[in-house]
Amino acid sequence: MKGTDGVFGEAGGPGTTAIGSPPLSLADLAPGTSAVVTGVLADGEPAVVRRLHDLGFTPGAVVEVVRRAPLRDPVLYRIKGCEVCLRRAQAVCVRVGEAAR
Amino acid sequence: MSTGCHTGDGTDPAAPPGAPRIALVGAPNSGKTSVFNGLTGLRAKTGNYPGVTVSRFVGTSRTGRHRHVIEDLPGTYGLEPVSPDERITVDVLDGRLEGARRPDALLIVVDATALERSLGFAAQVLARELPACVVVTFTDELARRQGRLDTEALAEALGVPVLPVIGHRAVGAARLREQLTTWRTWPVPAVAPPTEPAERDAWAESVLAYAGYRPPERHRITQRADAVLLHPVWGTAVFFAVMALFFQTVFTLAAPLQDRVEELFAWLSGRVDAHVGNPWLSGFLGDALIGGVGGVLVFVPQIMLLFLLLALLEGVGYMARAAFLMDRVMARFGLEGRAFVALLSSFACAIPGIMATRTLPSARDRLATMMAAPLMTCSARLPVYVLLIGLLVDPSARVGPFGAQGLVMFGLYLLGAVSAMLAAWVFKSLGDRHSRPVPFFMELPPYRLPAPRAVLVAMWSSARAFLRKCSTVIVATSVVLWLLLNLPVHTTGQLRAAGDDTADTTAVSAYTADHSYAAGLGRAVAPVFEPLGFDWRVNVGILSAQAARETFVATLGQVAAAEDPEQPEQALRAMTHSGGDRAGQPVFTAPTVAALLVYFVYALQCMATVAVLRRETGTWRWPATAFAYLTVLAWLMAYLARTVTGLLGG
Amino acid sequence: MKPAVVPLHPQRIPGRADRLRWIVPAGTLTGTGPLAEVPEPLATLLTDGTLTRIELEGEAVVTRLGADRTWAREGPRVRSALHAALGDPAGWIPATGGAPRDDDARLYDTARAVIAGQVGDFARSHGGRIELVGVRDGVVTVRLGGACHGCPASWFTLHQRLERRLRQRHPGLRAVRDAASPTTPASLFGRPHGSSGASS
Repeated sequence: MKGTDGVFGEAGGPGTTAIGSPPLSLADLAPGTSAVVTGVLADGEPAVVRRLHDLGFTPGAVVEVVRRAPLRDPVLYRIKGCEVCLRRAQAVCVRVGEAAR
Repeated sequence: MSTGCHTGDGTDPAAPPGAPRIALVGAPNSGKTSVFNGLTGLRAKTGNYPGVTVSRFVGTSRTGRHRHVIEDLPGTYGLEPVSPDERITVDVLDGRLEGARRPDALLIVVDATALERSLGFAAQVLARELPACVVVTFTDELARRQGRLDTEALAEALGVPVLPVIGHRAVGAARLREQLTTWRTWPVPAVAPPTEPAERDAWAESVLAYAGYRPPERHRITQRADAVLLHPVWGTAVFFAVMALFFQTVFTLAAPLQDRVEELFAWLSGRVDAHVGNPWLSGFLGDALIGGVGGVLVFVPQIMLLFLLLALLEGVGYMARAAFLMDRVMARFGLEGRAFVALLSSFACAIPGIMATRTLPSARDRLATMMAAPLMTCSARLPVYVLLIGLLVDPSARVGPFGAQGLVMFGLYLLGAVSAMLAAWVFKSLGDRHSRPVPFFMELPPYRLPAPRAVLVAMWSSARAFLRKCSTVIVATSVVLWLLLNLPVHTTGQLRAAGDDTADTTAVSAYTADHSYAAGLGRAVAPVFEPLGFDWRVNVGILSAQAARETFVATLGQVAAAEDPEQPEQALRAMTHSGGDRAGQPVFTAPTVAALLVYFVYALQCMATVAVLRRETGTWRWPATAFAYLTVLAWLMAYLARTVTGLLGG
Repeated sequence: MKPAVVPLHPQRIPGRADRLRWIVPAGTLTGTGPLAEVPEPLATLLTDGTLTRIELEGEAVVTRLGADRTWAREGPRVRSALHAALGDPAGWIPATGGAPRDDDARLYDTARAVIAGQVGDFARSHGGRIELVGVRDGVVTVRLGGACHGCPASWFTLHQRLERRLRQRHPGLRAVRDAASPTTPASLFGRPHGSSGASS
């Protein structure tokens, strides 16, 4: 299962995203990968930003993609010791740095 | 000793008016309710599902002479509310909730296993600058998972008292009660914790470092269980197996218990017949009380099992998983995973289902789910279905390996569920298209063994509610109905004039019932139900079931007993139309029974549900809408069912 | 990757309402005692009278409030200024270093405050007593009384707590000893001398 369907599959890697690639969001990570949150962006939706902050998605926090639901959405994340699931629409709001296994 | 009440004005009669008010705040699933129960001795329902406190609970804690009003507020992740549940918490904290004083002090409940996040929440609450004390829960689990925390250092760092408590084992409850008496001396932090997220994180990190916090290891059991239970293939299989087991248990396990209850009432009925001479009194006791109420009480084992299973699934933490698995399916209908849990609870009763919608952050989702919840087959429909299916299908009939009766029952459940989903979709689509979509997020708590007490409390409180309904609404309706069916009293002359043999008690009973006030009432509404094939007796049943569905069984039982006190079941089967175009034809033909069943699938015949809809939405608009659309839909679908069954039956 | 903001939180100093101790991570700032110079945003607070004094105390910055001001009002400003100033550790210049004797005197004061505070409370809550005997060359000697006397478990717990708290405020601490058994090396269970930082 791991790494079969994300941008960061076997083909990808930290090297391929360094230059010229768009900034990553949580939704771009494959299950099993971890990354550091760099910020939360949601145009015109301060409530979304605040709630994601409250749930622990703050800059500097390490987030791990635990697994996808059988129908691929939502996705379960581990953040600050808790397991929280988000739909894709919310996951794209969370910007992350480079992923790591 | 202590009293509690659901929402309302949140006042507690047991507490003196001037007693200090202390509010419990914390994130969902942080163990608040267990702390509350430990403090007050109240038995609020606890569960391992974020958002179990779907209303405010108020209770009293006693320590010596001291009394404190304790208020359990709905859990929230932050003080910028996004759901109605969270709105209550914030309004109470700011003293904006009507009829409720601003709390004098706060107990901030934080989960030791999720302290990094909990402190972000504690920071927001401490910034409200009320005297506060922090209660750390799940310290036992923290230690088991190799985590560490120095609560005294945490107290020093936070600038407020900190007490570890293991809620479900009542460890630390005595110390906490002791601590409550000193609430006046609880400090407010010298400097309110920062609100800006980066500074707040820095504050939390510093506090945790000072308190020597080591976060717990991952919960192994949860990781292993989720690898299976949330697996695309196995997880789905287990989900369907759990759902199948859910209904199987309810129907097969409950059957022998139901037989016991039935035997008990048969025995009681026999005692009444044998020992009560007065025919009026014997009729009243035997028919109205034992026949009417007993017919409904038979379902107590089933209802208790249903609630027990729901409490177990919730307590273990599977409900949140079910919501996670079903989210995508629910999204098809414009809803989210938590709506699935609300609808699943509605299988037991629409009321907890409607209350559970409070965990839905979106007001539109909430309304759509509430409008759909009454369509889920609640336990009150069970007695009606069992009675009617018995009239429709031969118990020995089989379709393949399945009993035909069971299949019809399954079909009715399915019809209810599918209709509910469609109704939710329609209401969601009709909702204001311009309102902003609310973000979806949900926490999956670690699997935990629920405290047996908590599960039993959840089961017992719902059984008690059902018994209360039986002893009030259903008894009252049964008694009124009995009177309506047996009045006016007819003279021998009238009977003779009608050509009845006054020595034949069956004939006399039938005549009395047929010329009773109830019959008049049933005939008055006949034009409405005539196209569905219902006669006055069924109409009386439907009218009486308007308050509570189960009453239908009690009513038909009484009507049948009134017609033929010796063999009510036979009477029901042999019942014929007493007038109109269909005079002489049997009442319970297949098309009529089908129409009745379908009518019960759709109709909103539950005053308690109407009342809860009113309370939850704050206006009469939504209960009126639900009542109107469901009643019209019930009639139309019943007509459809009658026509289709008529065509099939030839 | 760490957030750019240095973790810190304020703590009251019992009996000193005008002071706050801002706990900062070990190693952020070095030295103990008054400061000759602090980085800009913090310096402004000294000039405008919000603060009257800023001192380093081991793993903490102690700020003293100006007259007629409250922490509730000024605290957030002081905190933001501290966050900014801690981004520039080189800008913190200590006043000329004190002699070792001064250092022992300061350690004595710190130890007295810690024993009067939470650590002492902890001992009292268990029916015991803890007394400060003296300080010499960075070694703090205490005496246990009441229920704690002669109980190795209580010595272990108290010693850990006391040492951790003292070292946070006074990194120059070398050891904590029990007067009843002066031969017991304080580090019997603990970390080697000279290491700093809270055990975690």
